[in-house]
Amino acid sequence: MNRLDGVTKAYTNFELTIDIELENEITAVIGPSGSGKSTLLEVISGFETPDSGSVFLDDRALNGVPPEQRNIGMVFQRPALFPHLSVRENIEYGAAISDDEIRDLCELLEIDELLEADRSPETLSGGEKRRVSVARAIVTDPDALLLDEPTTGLDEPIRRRLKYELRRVLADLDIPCIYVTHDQNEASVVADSVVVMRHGTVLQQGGYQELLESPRNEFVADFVGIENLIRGEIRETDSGRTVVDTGVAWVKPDRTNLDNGDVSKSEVCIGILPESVTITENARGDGGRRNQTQSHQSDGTSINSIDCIVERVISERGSKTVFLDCGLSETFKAVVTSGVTVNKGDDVTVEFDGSDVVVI
Amino acid sequence: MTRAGEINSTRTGLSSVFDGDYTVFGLLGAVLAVYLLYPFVTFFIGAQGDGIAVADFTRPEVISAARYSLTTAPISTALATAFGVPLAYFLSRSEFRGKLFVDSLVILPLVLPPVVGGVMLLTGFGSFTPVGQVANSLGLTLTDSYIGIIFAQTFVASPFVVITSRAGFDSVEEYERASRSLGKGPVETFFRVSVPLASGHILAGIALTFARSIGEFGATMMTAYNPHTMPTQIWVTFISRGVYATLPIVAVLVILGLAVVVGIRYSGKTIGVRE
Repeated sequence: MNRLDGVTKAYTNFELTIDIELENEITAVIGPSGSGKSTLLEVISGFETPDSGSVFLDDRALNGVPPEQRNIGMVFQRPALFPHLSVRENIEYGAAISDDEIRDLCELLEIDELLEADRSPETLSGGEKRRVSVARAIVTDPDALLLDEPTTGLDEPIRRRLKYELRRVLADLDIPCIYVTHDQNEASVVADSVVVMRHGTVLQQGGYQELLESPRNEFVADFVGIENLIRGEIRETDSGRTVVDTGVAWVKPDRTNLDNGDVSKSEVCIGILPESVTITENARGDGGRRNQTQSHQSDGTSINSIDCIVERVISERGSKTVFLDCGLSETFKAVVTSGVTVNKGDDVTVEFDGSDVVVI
Repeated sequence: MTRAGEINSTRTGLSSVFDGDYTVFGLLGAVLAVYLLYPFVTFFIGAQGDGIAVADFTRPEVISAARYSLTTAPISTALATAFGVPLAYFLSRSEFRGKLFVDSLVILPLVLPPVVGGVMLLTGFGSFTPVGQVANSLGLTLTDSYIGIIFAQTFVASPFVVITSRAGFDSVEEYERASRSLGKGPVETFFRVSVPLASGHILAGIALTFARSIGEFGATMMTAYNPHTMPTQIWVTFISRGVYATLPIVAVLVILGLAVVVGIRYSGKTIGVRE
C-alpha cells in the first residue's frame, strides 16, 4: 500500500498535514496556489523531510531514504532538461537502456525524431521538452511517478493534446502517479482519482465523478467546477414536498433525500454544474414571467427552474458561457452549446434536473 | 483623469523613452566611459614622450617583480578555488545557524580596504604571533616572503571565486533535483550536473580572483613588502623614478587585465545554463 501517514511539515506561515492512501493509478492533486501541492511532492520525493509521520511506497517506509534511493520519478514544472547534454543523453541519464528500448519509449511519447543528430534541449519546443522530461523520468522504471504541473506554461492546443497523451502513457505504467495541477478539467481528463487540497490539508479524495456528485464542502464543489453555489432553507411546500427554498426558486434534488435525515441542517448550500443547465427564452409579452410549465407549483413558485436576465455571453470553442442575473447574491452561470441563441438582456428561464443538483 | 488613465499615461511615457530614444542614457554613460579611458590614454602617451625604452622592460627589478607576481597569483587562485568552490556550494545548498555570519565574512575582504586585511594578517601570522613562531621553528617565514604574498592575495581575492561560484550553484538547483530524482547521488550530481552547468560562473570567479591576486597591493604591502610583486614594484619605481617609469609593469598588468576581461566575456557567452 502507498500512503502518507500523519505527515506534517511546518513552515513560517504554512503547515502541511497529510493522511492519504494512494492506489496504483493516476491521482490528480488539485488546489489553489499555496495549498501545499508541490510541498506534498517534495515530501514524497525526499527533497523535504517531514516533521512527523511517514511516507510508505508499496509498504516500504521512506523515512530517511535520500531522493536518489527512493526510485521515484519526477517531472518538474520547468522541464529541467540538462542543457549541456543532448536529448538522447538526457533520456539515458538515469538508466542505461538499449537502443530498441529508448526508441520504443520515444515512439510512445512521439519524440523519436528528437533522438537524431544529438539535438540539444535548447532547440525543442515547450511541448517537446515536457515529453522528453517524462521519457527521462519513466526510463528509470520508477516505483512511483510525480508530475508537478507538467503542462503549465504551454500554449492551449499543445496543452490539450499533451494531457490526453499523458493519460494514455501514465495509465499503462501501473504505478502510483501523482499529478499536480490547478486545472480541474485537466485533472478530470488525466486522473483516475482526485485529491483536493487547501491550506496544506486534504479536503476530499475520490473519483472525479464522486467529487462532482458529493462534494464535501463548497470549496471542493467550486474547485471541481460546480460554480453555481446557492444557499437555501429546507422547507415543506403546501403540497407536502420537501424542497430547498433559495428565495427565487424551489430546488428539489433527486439524489439527496431531504426528508429522512440525510441533511441535518435546515440551511444548506446546493450546487449546480453550469454544464447541466438548459436555457429557454421566455415568450414575449408575459411581463418577464415565464409561462406556466410543469416545473411550476400551483402557487406559482418554480421548482428546478429560475427566471433570469442574461448579463453577458462569452463564446468559447464549441460552447457559450452565459452569465445570468437570477436575483441571487451571485451571478448564475450556464454553459450551453454554441448553437443556442442567447444575447445580453434576454429574458430567459434556466432549468436543471433534480439529479444534477448536489446538496453540500 | 482616472487612476487607470494615470497608469496608462505613465507607461506610455516610459515606453516612449525605451522604444528608441536612448540619447540621455548614452550621454550620461559616455561621461563615465571617457573618464575610465582618459587616464590610460594620458599615461601611455606621456610614457612615450618620457622616453621609456624597450630596455626598461628587461630591467632586473621588472623581471623579478613579474616572476613573483606570476608565480604567486596562480597559487593564490588555486588555493582560493580549492577551498572557495566547496564553500560556495555549501553556502548555496545548506541552511545552518551562523550562515549570515559566514556570508558576511566572505564579503568582508571586498568591502574593507586591503591594507586593513594586511593588518589583520599581520596580527594573525606575523613573526611574533604564536602561528608565526611555530612556522619559524619549522623554517617557514609567513611574512615578508613568498608565502606572505600568497596569504595577502588569497585573503583579498578569494571572495570573488566564492561569490560568483555561489551564484552559479544557486542557478542550477533544479537540475540537481532532476539528477537526484534520476538516481544519482550528491557527489555524482555535483560533478555531472552542478559543476558543468555552473562552470561559466566558476571560471569567471577564477579569472577575477587571478586578476585581483596579481593586482593586490594594500595587504601585500603590509605582509610582504619584500620580495616585490608587480604592484609593489610600481610603487617603489614611482617613488624613486617617477610615474612614467612604471610603464613596463603597468603595461604587463593592463594586458593581463584585458585578457581576464575578454576571457570572462567569452566564457559567459559560451558556457553556463542556457535553458
